[in-house]
Amino acid sequence: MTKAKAKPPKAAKKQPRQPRQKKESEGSQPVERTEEELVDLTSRVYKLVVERGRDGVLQSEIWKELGLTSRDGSRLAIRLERRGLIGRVKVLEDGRWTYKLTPLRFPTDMTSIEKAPCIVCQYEPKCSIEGEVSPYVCPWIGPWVVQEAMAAGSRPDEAEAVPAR
Amino acid sequence: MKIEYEDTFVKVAGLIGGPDYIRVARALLNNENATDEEIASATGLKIKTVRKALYDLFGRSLITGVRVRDPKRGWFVYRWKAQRDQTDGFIQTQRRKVLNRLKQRLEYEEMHEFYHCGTPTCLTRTFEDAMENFFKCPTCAKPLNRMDNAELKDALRWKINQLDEELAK
Repeated sequence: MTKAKAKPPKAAKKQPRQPRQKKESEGSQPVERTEEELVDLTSRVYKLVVERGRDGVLQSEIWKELGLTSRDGSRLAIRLERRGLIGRVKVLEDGRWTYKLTPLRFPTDMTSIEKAPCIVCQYEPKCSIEGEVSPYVCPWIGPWVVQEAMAAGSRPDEAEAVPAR
Repeated sequence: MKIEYEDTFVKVAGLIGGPDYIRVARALLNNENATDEEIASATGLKIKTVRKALYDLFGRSLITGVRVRDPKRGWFVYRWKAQRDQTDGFIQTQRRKVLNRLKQRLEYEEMHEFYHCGTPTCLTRTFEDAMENFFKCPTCAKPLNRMDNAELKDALRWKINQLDEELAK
């Protein structure tokens, strides 16, 4: 009797899992999206997860927001999880199993040196005060800094940071 | 190519070498311990381009390579792996290097007066240089006029301040 009673809840638990297993098997089919599209979508998913912060976001919300299929949404989330950018925890939401996505790594801001000439300069290893190439006479460092300051000055949020002189 | 919300490793690779490096970096993240040939086939780039990117990233300690014997062919191949924990350090080092150079340049700009003839291809001369040449450009023979470097000095101070603040965080 006890065995017979124990069976129905097990079957009930298995039911919601079956459709997901089908979706995962569908994922092995060839993807029609190009690599560029996938990269763009991955970055958009990551952006959404990062924007929600530590509270995280449901995987189902993401694919709805981006207008994706659940298969695509889950594939992209798995891709980000594999890269160690997000964490994926299984949660029960409104009686359906889904995943909560939380950012594990936040993107590093490197806008301040993004266009710095030194990073790609071929003379960089030789650049020193005593060297043949030096920051004193570098033809790239001056225009870069002036351009950056002007660009920051034209942006209202950073205008205060630019010196008045 | 949009890389705002990307892995820092990919962003750094893009900073160093542009779109080709971004593709190589993404392939490295998707397939850990991949060989150059595997990366080339995954990205569609020429093997030469892939190797150049890999050696460059390896030279900057952003990836590591392990030499293993190819079981099919019997020769040695390298399997490459991204060192993602190094990327933040790399960015900080670059910040520090750029900051140091900007400080040196500002000091130089503050200590000297500059003269220029107005020809874009000619060099800017310091006061001492200009005096030695009797205030005539040795290249185009036009008279050398004093240059106002106030804008450059202001821009340098602003950038130094910005980088200083970022490094202090």
